[in-house]
Amino acid sequence: MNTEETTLLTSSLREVFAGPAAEVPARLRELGWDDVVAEDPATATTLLFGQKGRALSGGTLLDDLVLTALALPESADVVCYPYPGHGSAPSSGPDQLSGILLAAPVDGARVVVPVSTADGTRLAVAPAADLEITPLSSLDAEAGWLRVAGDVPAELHDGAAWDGAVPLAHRALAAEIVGVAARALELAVEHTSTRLQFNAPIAAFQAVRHRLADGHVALAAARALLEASFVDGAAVSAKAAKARAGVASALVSANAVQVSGAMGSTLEHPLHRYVNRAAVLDALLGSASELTLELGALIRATVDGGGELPLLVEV
Amino acid sequence: MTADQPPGLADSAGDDPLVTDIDAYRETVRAFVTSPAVDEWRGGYVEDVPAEMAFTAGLMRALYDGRVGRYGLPVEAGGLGGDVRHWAVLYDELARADLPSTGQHSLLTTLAYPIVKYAPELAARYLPEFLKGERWWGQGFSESEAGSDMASMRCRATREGEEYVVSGHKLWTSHGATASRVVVLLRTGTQESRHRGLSMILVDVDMPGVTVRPIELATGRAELAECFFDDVRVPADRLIGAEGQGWEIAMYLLQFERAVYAWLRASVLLRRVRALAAEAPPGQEADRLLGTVYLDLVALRARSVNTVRRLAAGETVGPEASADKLLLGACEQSVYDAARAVLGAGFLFGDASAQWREDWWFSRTTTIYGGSAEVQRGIIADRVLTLPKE
Repeated sequence: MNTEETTLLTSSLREVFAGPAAEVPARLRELGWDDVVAEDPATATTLLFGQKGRALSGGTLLDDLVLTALALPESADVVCYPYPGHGSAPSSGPDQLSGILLAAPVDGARVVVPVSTADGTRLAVAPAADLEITPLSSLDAEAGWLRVAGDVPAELHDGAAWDGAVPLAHRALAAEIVGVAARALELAVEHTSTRLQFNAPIAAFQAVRHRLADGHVALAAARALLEASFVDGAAVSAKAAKARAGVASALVSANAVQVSGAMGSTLEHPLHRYVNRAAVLDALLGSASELTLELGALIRATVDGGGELPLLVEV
Repeated sequence: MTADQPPGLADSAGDDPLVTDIDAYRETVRAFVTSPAVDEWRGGYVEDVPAEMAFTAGLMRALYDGRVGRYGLPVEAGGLGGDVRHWAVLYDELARADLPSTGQHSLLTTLAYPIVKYAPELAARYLPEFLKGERWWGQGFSESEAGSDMASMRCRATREGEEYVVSGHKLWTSHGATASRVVVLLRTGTQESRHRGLSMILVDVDMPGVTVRPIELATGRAELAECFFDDVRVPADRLIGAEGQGWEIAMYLLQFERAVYAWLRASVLLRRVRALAAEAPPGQEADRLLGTVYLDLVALRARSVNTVRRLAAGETVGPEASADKLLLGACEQSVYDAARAVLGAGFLFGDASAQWREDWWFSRTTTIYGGSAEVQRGIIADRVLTLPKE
């Protein structure tokens, strides 16, 4: 996709995400988004989730991506993501379903839940009505996520497709996190370029400039790794992309809050919304910290086994 | 961004498929570097810098004789054609085969293309010996009063007939202690002309009036040197480019430092991360650090690959390459800090970890040389984020 097309699509997506999250799927269909995805899935995913992040749009676009990849033998409308704290693995075990929904399911909806079993990942599909779905108190109340608990149904489907869908979700989430953090950095640049102290914009002071530059560099690295991950197509690189997006957003959040002064910590200023959203997105399907640990264990095992480290990119 | 002549490609040798087929080149290199022909350099570690340079000079020769070391430079400069991607592949494959990337290449990778572009006659005369590992060059830009503020340099060259008379002092000259020649940035204009009054000249260290004094880094390794020039008479044909063009050439050169040198270092770091993973005691703390350095490394490579490709395609790499430089410095320090944390007392004590200690100290300089991290952040603040000026 060339720069002109990308710019055009970016501006269309901004209009789409300016509206209510519930209307986004319909507006994307009007836009012919499926054709864009078919032509260049990497750019399409990066743009779509990047703009979603930037707009702090909620909704269940990630569910659509995952459900398509799962191609379940029975119908499911909603994805229940593992409750955070289990790395990239399911939180549900053979005895209990647990997890998170990104939005309240419509009446009659059926929920797919990944389950860890002795035979690896399996998939449960249950009517939402059979599950206990409760509001989830969160750093980011605006996200509107819900908590799920319930009994494990008798019949479980093969879960290989889930393991295949997780890397797609990791890349989409990486794009969304980068989108959120990029907007946070913009807000910090805007604030520091106009806020005057000692008769100068505070962005003219080196200590402030360097924090902003570090944020930019972290995001540049995260974007590059995400791009490489799409080319590479492997689960390891997707994990790396999501981890690095989380690392970048944590740095941007910390630096943006600091250079925005007391204003940056108020409800009136929008910065907190981006800080909170980036944090909860980081927690989905393995936080940066958890994924870093998983990658470290993988690196050690690879070297111990005499294997080559996955390099992700070659010239 | 301007599309220039892709460096090297126009001078490719006839219809050699390895010039254009990077994957085929990679296979050829891999076969060579895993062969017994280079076994004597595998896993080698030499404590002393002059001995190490002599050691890797032998590998340069072997790579040259085995042909794989000749890609990346045009035929006129002793190469077999190709572009900087060939070097990037060479560095990766050397690291994979547990071979050093060579101190020679850490200089060649930044110095060669500026010479090819701005002084093709000097390239033809002197780059072949560099490729063969017979002689190598240092880079003399910094001075005691011109570090980050490079345009304030005072070391002077004055034209007298068919010679330049060079006088002054250069500091932190990379590989100055073992190099036969030094690419020196000199003032030919007035002090007030700042970056406009600079010229680049290739000076031999055995020319009368040149004194080189090695500088030992904190571990005692002497990779750097200071050079004193006492009315050194240098033939005028050693001028690189035109008089007054020094800054432009230095900026051209820095692109290779940001792109291909960064790739070389990433290859070296890959080798060291592998070594660390093999040495690390079991446990989550070590796993977390291994994961962190792995992420730093793959993020650096993911960023750098685009810069290398753009340079190979003849594009100009602009201020955004300061991000590459910052990522490299951060990755270097992350890897060796991780080694320090993971190995604990094993890092601090014992002969087995001498290389870790030396590398750790070297990694402290990686956010200083070639433009300090503070200068890079300033470039991004000014020219990428376009923040209000300081």
